[in-house]
Parts: sequence; C-alpha cells; structure tokens
Amino acid sequence: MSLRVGAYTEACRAACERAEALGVYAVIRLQDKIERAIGVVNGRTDLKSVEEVSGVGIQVFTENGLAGFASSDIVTPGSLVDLVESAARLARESGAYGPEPAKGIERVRPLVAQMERAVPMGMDAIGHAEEEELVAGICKMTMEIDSRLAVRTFYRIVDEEWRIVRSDGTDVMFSMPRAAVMNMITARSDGHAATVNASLAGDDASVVASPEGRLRLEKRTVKAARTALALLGAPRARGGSYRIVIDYALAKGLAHEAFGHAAESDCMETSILGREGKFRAGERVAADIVTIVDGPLEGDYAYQPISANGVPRETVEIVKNGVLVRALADVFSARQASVPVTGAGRAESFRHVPVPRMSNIRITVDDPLPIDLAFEDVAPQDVRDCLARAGLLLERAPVLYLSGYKGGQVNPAKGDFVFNCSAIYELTPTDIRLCQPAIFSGKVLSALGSIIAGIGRPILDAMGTCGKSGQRVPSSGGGNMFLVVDENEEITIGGV
Amino acid sequence: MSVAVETAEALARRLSDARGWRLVASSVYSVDVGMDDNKLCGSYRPPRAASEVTGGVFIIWQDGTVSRGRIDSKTLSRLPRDIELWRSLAYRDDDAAHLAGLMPPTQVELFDPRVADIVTGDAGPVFRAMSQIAEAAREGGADMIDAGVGCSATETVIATSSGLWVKYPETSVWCSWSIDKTMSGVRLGRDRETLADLARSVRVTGRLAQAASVRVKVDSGDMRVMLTPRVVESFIGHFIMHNMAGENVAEGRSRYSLEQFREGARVFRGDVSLMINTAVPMGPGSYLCTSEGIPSGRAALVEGGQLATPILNMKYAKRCQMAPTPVPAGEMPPGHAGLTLRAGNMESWTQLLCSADDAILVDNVLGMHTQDPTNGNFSLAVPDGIVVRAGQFAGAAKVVISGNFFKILNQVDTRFAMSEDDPNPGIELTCHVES
Repeated sequence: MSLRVGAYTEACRAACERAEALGVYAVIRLQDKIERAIGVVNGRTDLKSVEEVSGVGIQVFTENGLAGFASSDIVTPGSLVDLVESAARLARESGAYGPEPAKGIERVRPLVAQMERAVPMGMDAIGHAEEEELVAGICKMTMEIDSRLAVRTFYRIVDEEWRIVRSDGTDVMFSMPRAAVMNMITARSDGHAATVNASLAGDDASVVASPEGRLRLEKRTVKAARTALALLGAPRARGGSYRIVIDYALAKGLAHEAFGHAAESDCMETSILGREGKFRAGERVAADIVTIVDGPLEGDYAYQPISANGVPRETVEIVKNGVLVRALADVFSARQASVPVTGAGRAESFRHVPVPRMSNIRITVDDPLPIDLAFEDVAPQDVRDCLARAGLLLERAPVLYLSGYKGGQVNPAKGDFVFNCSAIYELTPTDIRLCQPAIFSGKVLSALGSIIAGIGRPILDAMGTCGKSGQRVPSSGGGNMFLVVDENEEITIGGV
Repeated sequence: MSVAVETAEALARRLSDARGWRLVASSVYSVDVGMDDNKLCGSYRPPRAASEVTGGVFIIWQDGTVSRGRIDSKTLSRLPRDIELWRSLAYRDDDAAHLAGLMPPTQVELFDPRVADIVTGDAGPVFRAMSQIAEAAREGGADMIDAGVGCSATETVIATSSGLWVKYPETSVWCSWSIDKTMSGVRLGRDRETLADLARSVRVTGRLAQAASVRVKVDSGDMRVMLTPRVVESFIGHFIMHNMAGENVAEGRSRYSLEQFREGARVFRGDVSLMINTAVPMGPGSYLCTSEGIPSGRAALVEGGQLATPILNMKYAKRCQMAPTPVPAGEMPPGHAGLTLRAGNMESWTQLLCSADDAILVDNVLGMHTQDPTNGNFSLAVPDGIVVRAGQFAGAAKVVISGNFFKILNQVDTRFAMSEDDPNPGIELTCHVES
C-alpha cells in the first residue's frame, strides 16, 4: 500500500466502531494533499512554498435521516471518535428544527478499491532549483516580448490523495495528481491597460519541464501577449446579438457554466433541466449534431476516478445527438431527480460536504469543419477563412470571434449565464477588427440550440476552477477547436 | 494552552538560529448550519462543527534567503522535519527579507464570550437564527430560500523575532440568505447581536425579490443605474482592490503607477476618498496587528480624489519606499474588511431610492470576476434589474450594464448614498444599459 492515506486504517476503524455504538451511519473522508507553488513576478521570484494538508471530515446519518458533519486537521483514532460524536450530536440537535431527511447513502453498494495514478513527472521529478529556474524562464521570456508588459507566472503542482470509508465496509483510496502553469500578462501604455492570460494544465510537471509543454505554453503566451498589446487601443464591439465563434476554452465555459451545472442532480427542483424535481431525460435541447459528455480523463487536470462518497465516477453522456440523456448525480439526490447515480460528488477539502459537480466536460459537434493547424497557430484570419469556405460568414453583419476564456457564472434556476473572453474579433468578408472583450450572456437553452457547426478536432485541456457551493475544485474540459453559435436574440454580446 | 500557542512557542525556540522570523498561528473552532432550496440541513448543508489550526511562518535565514511555511495541527509533532522542508525551498527575495521593528499592537475589541459559548456548547442560537431567516423570507412571499448561519471562536498568536508576542481571542458571526435565487443579503459581525433582528434585513431582500417577480420591458440606451451597497462592494473588491494592491502597483500590474501615488495624481472626483480602517471595535475585519506585526489602524488610500498610498505590506513598502499600511482582511467584502469609499454630501440610500425615476436598481450581477480590473471597463449581466419609476419598484428586466467604473467615480452626476446596514454606499450613476 503506497498511498499516504493508507496509514489511517486504525483511526477509520475506531470511527466506524464509535458510529456503530451511537447508532449512526458514517462516511469518513480523509484528504492528504501536498502542494508546491512558485510565483515569479517580472522575472523575480515572489513566492516559493510547500503545503502539506491533511485532515478528515465525517458525515453521519441517524436512522431517521438526520445528518451532521464534523471536521478536523488531526487524524488520530481519538480525534475521529470525537468527530463522530460531535457530528452525531449536531445531527440529533437539528431534529428539533424540522430538517430535511438525508437519504440515499444506504442504497449504494460497498466498494473496496485503490486507484493510484502514477505520473511520469510527479512532485519529485525535478529539483526545486530547476523548477524555479523553469518558471522564472517562462516569465522572462514573456517579458522580452515587449517592454510594456508586466508578467506574473504562477506554477502549482499538487499530489492529492483521498480515502473514503463508510459504515457499510467501503474503503476506497485514490490519487488526483495535477499541475498547472499560468502567465498573467498585463500590457500598459498611455493610461490604457489590458490583461490576458495564457495557461497550460495537466497531471504532472511536464507542463513546464517537457519540450512539448514548454512549446505549447510559449506559443500561447506569445499569442496572449500580442493580444494584450493590441487591446490597448482597441475599440469596443457594439452590443447586440450576433453569429459568434467561440474557441474550445469558451466552449468549455459554455458546457460547464451554461449547461453542466443545470444537469447536476442536487438542483433539479429549480434547474431549467428539471421538471417537478425530475430530470427532463429524453427532451431535445440542442441540434442533432451536439453531444455533451462529462467524465474523468487520465492525464487531465481535473481527474477524479471515485466520488467523495466512495462511488466510482462514470463518464456520462448528458446530451447525445441533441437529446438530454443523463444527469450528473450523487447518491443523495439521484433518486429524487429520477436518475441513476453516476458518482458525481466532489468536495474541495476534508472540511467540505460533497456536492454533485463536473470533472472534465466537453461539448462536441458531428462532422466538424476541418482546419489543418494546431490551435496555438490559428490566427483570426484562419477562422474567417474557414467560415467563408463553409458559407458561414455573413454579408449583412460581422461574425464575432470570441477568443480566450476569462471565467463565467450561471444561475441554473433561471437559465441565465455569462462569460467573458480575452478579446473579440469582428470578422467580415473584407476586414478583421480587434475589439475589447465584452461579456457573452444569455439563456442556456438558447445558446445550446443555436450551435450550428464546429471547427477542428476536440481539445479538452481548458483548465478552470469550479466555485459551486463556495467550494473551489479543479475543473476542465473543452470541445471542438471552435464552435459556431448562430445569432439569437436571447444571446447577447454586452458592450456599448 | 491551545495548540496554536504551543506550536508558536515551539517554533520560536526552534528558529532561534535564523536571522529572523515571524509567525501567525490560530486555533479555530466553528459551527454552522445551512438551508438549500427550502431544505434545512439535509445531505448538502448538515450542521457542521470544525476545529483546525491554521497559520504560517516566514523565516529569514542567515544567508539572507527566505522561506514560507504553513502551520497546522501537525506542525508541532513534526517540527524538525518541517523546518528542513521549508529550508529546502528557501529563495532570495531581498525586499521581503526584513522584519518590522517592535510596535505595540492596537487594542481592538474582537471577542464576545457569548459567541464562543455557541461554538463550544449550545448551537441552538445558530439553528434559531436560521429559523428567523426562513420565517421572515416566507412571510415576505419567498418561494425558494437558501441561507447559512455560522459562528467561530479563534485564538491567535502573532509573534516575531523582534520580540512581538501577541495572543488574543476573537469571535465571528456570519449570516447569509438568498430569496428565489434572485436577491440575497449578508450580515457579518463578531457579537451575539449579529444574530438579532435578522427578519428586518431579510424583509428588505424580500421586497427586492418580490419586485423581480414582475417582468417589464426596458429600452436600451444610456440611463441612470443604482448600484446597491452590496453591488458596490463587489465593484470595490474587484476594480479598486486590485489596483490599490501594493504588489500590483510595484510590479506594473495596476492601472496606477507608483509615480502617480508619489505625485498624488487625481484619479477620482475631488470629493471622493477611500479609507482603510482595520481597528473598528468588533469590526468583522478588524485585528490587533497584521501577521507582519504592523499595528492595526487607519490610512487614507485616496483623499480628495487623489492617490495617497497603495495598500502596502512590509515587502512592497520597502520596494515602493513608502510606509506600510494596514491590510484588509481577506475572504470578506471589502467594506467589512475596513475598506470604505466616501464622497462629500452623501445622501441616505432610502432617500435616493425614493427620489429615483426611470432608473434600474441593480442588486445582483453575474460575471464580475470575469472583468479586467486594470482598465475599469465593465460589461455585466443583470438578470433582475429592478425598474424604479417615481420612487416605486415597477418590475424587473434582464439587462447588461456596461461602462467604466473609474470614469464613473470621476463624473459629477454620480451620487453616493449610505444605508444604515452597509459599510459602503450605494451609487447612482449613468451607464449604458442593453436590454
């Protein structure tokens, strides 16, 4: 047994015995995370740190469904026994205030498993000094592009392990290695400023240490830096509804923010994808060509093979050929939403109660238009030419090409979503004009229903952090290199 | 003696060979309860109790390199190994490699024993506060309620090799609610009274949610927009905090340069100021001294519309050759952390609302975190912009508002108004509205 969380067997046994004595069902979640970070600002090291975090959260359920939770960063048999008692006391105290019964955990099958993901360039693959040199090198390379640039380069490598033990005998352990590097590039001149990011994520240090990783990051960085500089004097796009093209990172944003959250089983009572609390399986939500899938991918930044409730995480076809198929469900709300459990529960840390959420979500279309370039080498004119060849460029109005994802937000109950890009290009048959980024907002189902084409093969490494329920967990995904979304009055590009 | 104190004492002994060090260690205990989609507790928001030691240590080694380490409950038991680990990651950061001289911390009241009793004993008041919120929301016609209430009690030690050793208790209380997934409110404090009379605040939110349930149409164009104090908090947190942060100013990642601060450049309207005060008695973001040993206090960041100083910790104070300032506490809205925007002749928020005509009241925006803070441009979705006509709520419309926050703080027709519940004002301004 090589996983660090394997060392806590005695503590888990003590907690289970105490839970049994108190007449409660326990789910014990142990987390052990090592995280090393390096920050370099304008070529100088600003941060170098290592964090070793371990702790345990215990959720208990009484016979009549009262739930309580207690957590601590002390993982000893005595501490876990105390936590079981504390959680049980809170659960019973809540009974006086009319709580919602918590059901479902008793219906899942016990599982004993260990999934250790070995990565070629893990935490100790390169020395600290070399690691710092690599990150500083990326920062300095970026600064050399233009003297008007200020650059913060941040690199993080994480070795995270979890162990889930339940009263039914379940005992699963798994690891979730990941690494990411991000270049935050600010261009400033004559009172104008613009910030554009470039990033690369994966499961190990190859994002900064392998020749392939460095080349990709360098290409992305150069592109981002040039965009930031060009944005300094760029006009704003006129607000309104347009035919738009989004890159795969924005497509991930669309799939994650605009759709994935609405497909999570815990919000089915209010979600636009629910009706009377049940998932609207079988209903058409997009054109035949559209498919949306979520699931863990080996080598991915957001990889998680087993849920925080100890259930294997499935790859789920949420939408197949435009029709809703399955929800992302955990053990607690699957039955209520009338969907099967897919092992979607995730938690940020041992302090948090898991909720259903995505891992790697991707949105793809059938028969995409071909493009013979790597994503990093695609220029706006390539996108325009591709649209022109397919007859998708418009004479009467520009097509807006939105490049680079800068985050988003959604209200699954209302179906409203927003996200922002790094830059907008107005594409017309005769011209390409760079404009300031503006928010892309609209109604989820309108956006999905308006996807008319894809360009290029799927790319699935768009990295992000999902903030649902105040918890921050790694997320990722993507789609075809580009998606074409037709003009729709319910989808707006903000601006003046 | 708490684990935090024990850990701090052990670290102080072990680091006697270093050129200098400073540390902060806290033993934190908390309890909270939540409600999602009208469901109290349940699987996703069960009552929670948590205990943890958190903190960090900063070490200057004899060779001038520095290390940063994290402190938790296990630090004490693995100290020689942890120090070796931190040493192995030492790096050169000459501006950071110095400590504040010994200064007496500011005496600020931060502790209510009645809140500590809730955390360590009877959690009933937390459940009852939750019931108050739910009841008030239902009485106001809410269909869907989400809410959370919690308390914490913390013992903190801040120490430096310069001789500082401060140990103090503090308590925190937080309540938040959202009605019909449209409008929400928050209350933060440190005393038991924070849990009192929640119904009044929830009713204010409820009235906004009710107004949002009636949909009306709005034409696109430039028009008056009223940002509630809650939304102004998010504008300050996103646009102002980024550009006033010393690290961003010093490194050219702020819209303002260090020279502009030195020259006192005019950046806002002449009557607009921005202050930081981290020594407000029982203020949610108040403290005795920073983790670097800088006493809590008050500083003007923008005065009379002119830049005065960025927010500076020790490192960036040295790099900027300016005095360090109090630093706002993290993880809370800037106003509660002590950062307040003020203007001359501020009206009352209630009066401003009553006098509004053909304006959009904005209490919730989507996508703030996606905006570029350096240029001040905003383009934000407002799912429920409330149309105000002749001082009355006429319904709500989905709109996108766009403009430049820094230009708005410079415009003569921008009005500021304080409400009794919020540390920062609401703002009435003109910007573009796309419906």
